[in-house]
Amino acid sequence: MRQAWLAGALPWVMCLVVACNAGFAVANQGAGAGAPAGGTHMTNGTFSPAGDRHPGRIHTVDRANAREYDEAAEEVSQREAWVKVGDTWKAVVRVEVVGDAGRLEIRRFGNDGSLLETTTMVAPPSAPPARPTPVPVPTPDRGSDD
Amino acid sequence: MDIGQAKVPKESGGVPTKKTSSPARTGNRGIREQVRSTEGYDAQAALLRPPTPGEAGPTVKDLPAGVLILSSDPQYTDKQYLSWFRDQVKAKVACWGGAFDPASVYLAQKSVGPDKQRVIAMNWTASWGTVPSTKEMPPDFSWSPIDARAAVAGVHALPGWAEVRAENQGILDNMLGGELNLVSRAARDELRPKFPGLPSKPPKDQAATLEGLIGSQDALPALSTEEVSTSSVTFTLSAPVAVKDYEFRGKKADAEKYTASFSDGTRIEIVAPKAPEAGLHSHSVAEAADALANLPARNRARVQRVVLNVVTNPDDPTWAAKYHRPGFHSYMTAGASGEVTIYPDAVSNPLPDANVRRGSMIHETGHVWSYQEWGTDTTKGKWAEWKKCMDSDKVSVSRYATADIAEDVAETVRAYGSTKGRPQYNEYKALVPKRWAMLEKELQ
Ligand SMILES: [Zn+2]
Repeated sequence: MRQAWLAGALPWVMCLVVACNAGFAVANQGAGAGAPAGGTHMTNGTFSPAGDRHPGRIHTVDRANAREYDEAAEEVSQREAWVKVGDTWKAVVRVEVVGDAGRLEIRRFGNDGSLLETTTMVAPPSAPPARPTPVPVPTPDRGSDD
Repeated sequence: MDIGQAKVPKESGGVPTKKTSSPARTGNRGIREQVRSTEGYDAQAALLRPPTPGEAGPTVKDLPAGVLILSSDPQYTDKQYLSWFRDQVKAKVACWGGAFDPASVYLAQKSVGPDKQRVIAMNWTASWGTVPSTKEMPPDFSWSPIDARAAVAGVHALPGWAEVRAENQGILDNMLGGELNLVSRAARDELRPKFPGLPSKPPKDQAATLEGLIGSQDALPALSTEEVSTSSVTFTLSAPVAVKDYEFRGKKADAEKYTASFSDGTRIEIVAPKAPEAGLHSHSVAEAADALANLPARNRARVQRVVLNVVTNPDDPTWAAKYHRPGFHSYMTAGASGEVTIYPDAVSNPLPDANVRRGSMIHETGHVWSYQEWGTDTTKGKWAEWKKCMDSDKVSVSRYATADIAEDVAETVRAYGSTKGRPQYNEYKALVPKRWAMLEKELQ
């Protein structure tokens, strides 16, 4: 009985640990000058790590999944809502996603429409790889003497 | 004599022949020497009369116009492999309706400096169309140059060819007739299974099938993955400078900063973790510099720094879930600041090979270059000009390129950067002429 309780509780404990770690990492990231007091906004995209306020919405054109949607900056993580370009944090207001079975690209754009960064993700190696045509191996004609 | 040093003619695939031991060592395999040196043998005569069994093969000096080298690999240039090579060529030409004479494939000798190199040669058959410009077949035994010419000849022989619009005839000739590029290989592979059924169809149906290749996703390679081996610059790496607590993505860790100095004058910083994170591995600093060396100069000019990140991209779990790609992980990020981040992977997973590493960097920096150079509105200016080129060319370099205009640019830049200096370059120039002309102007 006690073991069963532990088994049931363990995932929740793990989640708590992960959440605490995530919160810690983000809080560290957001320790810049001008960051608003309190930690509530630091876990979402409302403010940059330097304390800049996001314009509000992020529009995603997800061609890999044939969908398009809007999110509020406060609904996404700070890392999703902001990109550091040089020494400046830039708000992400548009995301374009393209991809196929083996590859995904996420292009993130700023408020002025400029490309902030583009990331290529690749499939895990367990997925069937796109194999090139096998190279044929010449075989001798053992039976022939001509 | 090290025949691996033999110069490959420029019109060949540009892939050096496998470095092997001298032909004499094939004697260790217990195979009788069948070909003797035949100084002064008239190679042109060999075109008309291949040697009979037991007769010494011809010496092919400057490759007469109608002679192709099927293999120079001493492992296979022996008479007991002749039937295998004959079967290979026969299969390639037969699928396009071509007839094959086994006697056209024979053993010969090629002059390599003062030495002789045994080869498997083939006299071109006129009914297969024009002789390929690739005289030495690529070592992958794909026979793609033979396949290309035979495909074009087979298609031209169809009554329906006359019904294909003139502008599309040119496009199809380039799609099917490219001897080495991956787009043409994919187009032929798409048509190949359909071709045997075409002669029995009405000409207009034949034409429809052929024209259906143009713009078909199925007639394109998934990605532009031409071999990247055209580095035009060399580089040196500085000694590392230690950096305490470098702010990598997702983790601070001690780092080492290197400066890669390229022979074109470009200097790019490369940051690597001082020690790899347990369980992760990544490309080396030299491999990162090598990828930079293989970029088109304009792409390289956009890069300020390469960061070999200490941990995987912290966004991976979020993105994999959000975009329905379980297990996907980031390989590379290119940023507007000129920073390229390469992420490590679990040591249990193999790292991407040199071609993926170089090609991905061309593709990703191609995005940065195009957006910064052409602006953010992909419906205006140079982007609109590119769109017109796309519409005119009708063909794309890969299926991935058809995702949107930004991918079309990045994939075409990748094909451009990958093939520069090799025969495939001119094949792409024929396949996507308008886009290539624009890139030649923009990236020169
Ligand atoms: Zn891309």
